[in-house]
Amino acid sequence: MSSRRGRLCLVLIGLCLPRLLPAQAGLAPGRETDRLTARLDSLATLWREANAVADMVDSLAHRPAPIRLDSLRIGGLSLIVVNAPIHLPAAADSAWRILDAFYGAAAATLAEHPYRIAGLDSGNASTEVAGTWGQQVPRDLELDRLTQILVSSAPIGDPDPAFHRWLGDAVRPAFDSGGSLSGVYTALVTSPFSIAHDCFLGDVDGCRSALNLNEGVGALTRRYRTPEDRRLLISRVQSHFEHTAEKVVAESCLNGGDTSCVQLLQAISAGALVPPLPPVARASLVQFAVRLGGREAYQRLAASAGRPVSERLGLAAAMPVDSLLRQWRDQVIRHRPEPVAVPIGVVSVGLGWIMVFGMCGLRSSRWRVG
Amino acid sequence: MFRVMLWGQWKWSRLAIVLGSVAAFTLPILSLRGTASPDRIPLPPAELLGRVGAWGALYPILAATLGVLVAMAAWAPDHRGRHVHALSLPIPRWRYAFYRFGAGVVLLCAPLTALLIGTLLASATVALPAGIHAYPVALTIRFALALLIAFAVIFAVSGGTARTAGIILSFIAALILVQVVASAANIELDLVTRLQTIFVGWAGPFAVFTGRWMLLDV
Amino acid sequence: MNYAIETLGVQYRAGRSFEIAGLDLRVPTGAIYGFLGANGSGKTTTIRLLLGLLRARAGTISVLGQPMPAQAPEILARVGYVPEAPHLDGSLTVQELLQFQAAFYPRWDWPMAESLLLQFDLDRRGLFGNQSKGQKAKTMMLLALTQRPELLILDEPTDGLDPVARRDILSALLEFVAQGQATVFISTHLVHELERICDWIGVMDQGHLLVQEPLLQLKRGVKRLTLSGLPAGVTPPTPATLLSRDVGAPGMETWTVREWAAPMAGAITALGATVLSETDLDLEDGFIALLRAFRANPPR
Repeated sequence: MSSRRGRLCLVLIGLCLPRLLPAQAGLAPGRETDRLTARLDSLATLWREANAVADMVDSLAHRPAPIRLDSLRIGGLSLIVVNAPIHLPAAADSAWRILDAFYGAAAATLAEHPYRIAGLDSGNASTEVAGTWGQQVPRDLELDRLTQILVSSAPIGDPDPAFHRWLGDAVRPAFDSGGSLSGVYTALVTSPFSIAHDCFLGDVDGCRSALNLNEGVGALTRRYRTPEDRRLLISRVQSHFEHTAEKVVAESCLNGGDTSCVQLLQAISAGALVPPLPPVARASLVQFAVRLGGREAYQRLAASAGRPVSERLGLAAAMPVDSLLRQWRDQVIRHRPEPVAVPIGVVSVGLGWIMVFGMCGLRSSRWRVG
Repeated sequence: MFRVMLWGQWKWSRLAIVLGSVAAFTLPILSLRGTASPDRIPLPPAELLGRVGAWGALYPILAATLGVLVAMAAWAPDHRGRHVHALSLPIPRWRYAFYRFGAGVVLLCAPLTALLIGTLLASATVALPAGIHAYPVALTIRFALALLIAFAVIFAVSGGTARTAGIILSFIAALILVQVVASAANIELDLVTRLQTIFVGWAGPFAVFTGRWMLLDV
Repeated sequence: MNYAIETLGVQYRAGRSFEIAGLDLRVPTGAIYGFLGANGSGKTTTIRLLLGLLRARAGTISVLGQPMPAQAPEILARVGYVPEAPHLDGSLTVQELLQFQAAFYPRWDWPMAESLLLQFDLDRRGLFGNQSKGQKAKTMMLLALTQRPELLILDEPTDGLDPVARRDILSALLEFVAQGQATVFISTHLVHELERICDWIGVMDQGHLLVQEPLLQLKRGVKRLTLSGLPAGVTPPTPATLLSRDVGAPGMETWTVREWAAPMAGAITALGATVLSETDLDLEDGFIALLRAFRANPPR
């Protein structure tokens, strides 16, 4: 990193730190670790943003010739482009339709936050000019992939940090909803935690727990409901207790002491918990809720900040959360990946074709020399 | 008769059969090596399936290659002798072709068996996460169908005269020409997609080449 | 007379330039039938028609009393065939080729195969594809003889071979014929070879069978006559036919005739001419004269 860039990063962080540090005062000791983790995340984000700005400053300072920026407006999307990718107009058009359908009226804000796209073309001088500017993609990137990038990096704000924490990402539409639901199916049947299996079998409360939608007292023991689940969880986070006073408790838990497991479960930080289902399951639920709720669904979700996540999802979908979960689970089951076993129809058709071609071979036209 | 023809065909196709069998045996083992071996940290199921799925593309390629090579080798000695010997043998033509076909199928049993053993061995030696199962027999059945279809198609084409092959090639060339002309004239005609639907659709001869070639799945 | 091969009005066309028209071939059972013709005359095509490798457009073919190609497998089980070019799988050894053939022919004779292997000095472990031209010809002859055929069809079996290999093959052939009652149909353009072994001759040119008769009859009937004092427009008395006529000094002519008989000289003398000399032609000269006569006046 150049000294100039390093200085710039430090200045930016220095400006922000005083605003963060006073917030440390007066923390309740029980939640201190969580809060510190969250702060650390914020600082990391800030560091990344500062680096991005520094990169841009560096690239502007060192560029041999001015970058030619093109400005595009496709649907409700604004794009500032260097060396535009070939399929960009078509991809932006497709992306806008997906984003507009998902975010509804909120999609209008996308126009105020332009995408910055740089097309990379090997052997082309413009690539070097572009440097590290914007989001860099191969100039000949295929349409679907480019659309997916535009959809998944839509510059739209999160409803709120609490929702972001639960979801683990921003609220975004699915580019391939069938594919992601198949992924959720796989996650449901392969989760080592029994609550996911309950959800798979149709237990709505199980789905609620597996998706971390239960809050309050006893939420964790409902999520990791069997001693095996708790032991598995603790075995996964064992390293956290390596140099702490809980090490002995952890060992006791792993040796079959479920009381120790429950004790650790209460003490462990929320960020360290291994959720029964991966983030893709929660994302698919949000996408499903927004899709069911229609054009205003996202706005309802954003407007309900401060309420429990499950309630907000119900509001977005405009239905009770249990109904939402039941429908989501049914949808997931419908998207079971195509079975690996060859269907009898395919076997029959295949054997039929083998016989047809075999007969063609036997009835060979070669009855003469030539 | 069958035995001597089998021996002759073996001599022509032994390289393909041996290499194909080695590939069929090692492919499933390699596909699970480093993904689900007991001595490593297990991958998350989705990632595991993704990696196994990526290897899965190699099975239909191997089946098609082997089927084509063995079918070509089945007729190779006859093509070399311009079919004079074959046609002067005291045996009906259909029976001769049937023996050639049968010998090819018998030879293809070697890579098929190798694949079955490889998949069974690979499945037995990995620690699979809960909810993930191995499908060695299903994969072998799929492979067998693809192998035999590739073999039967090329066997039928290769067993014909140069005129037959010419007609088939002319037909393909004509389709390409029509597509090119239609594209140049801005006529909406997508022959490639239609042909794909015909050949790869559920009732098409190559349907088995599509689908999921997974040794592991939920 | 019984015929091992009998064709009637066989027609075949390959492309635009070559045609076999109205082929009436009769090969007596037990004969060694020499099938003569220049390159491209239609000998190989005729053989392929006889074996069912090609299909005639018209006419009937009977081989060993059975119709071809309707009963091709049955006929081919009784026929030994040595083609013009090596046709066997080059990746097989001689031993493997023997085993291959033995599986297909019910009358396969293993002791004979062993004996011929020694006689031809062939390495049973050698690959057919690696053999010399002479060895390949011997291997093919071995395979054809060892299946103990009733009819042996040989298509230029000694073409391009060295004299030793040629002699070996012909000796084996004669030995085989001496042992049994097989009919041999041998095509070649090496006329001298046929003269030594054949008892029947057929001459083919441009898809037409020009002559078909016993060798002795053919040789005896083809003469070169030197004539003097011949009036204009005189032709030989029937059934003799004039193959060629060379006019020399005034009143002097040289005729090449076939189906000539000594008493016919009297008919010529009666016209006031004199037969100065009467020379027997060998088979090769007769063959060439026949071809020249045919080509000078081809059928339309």
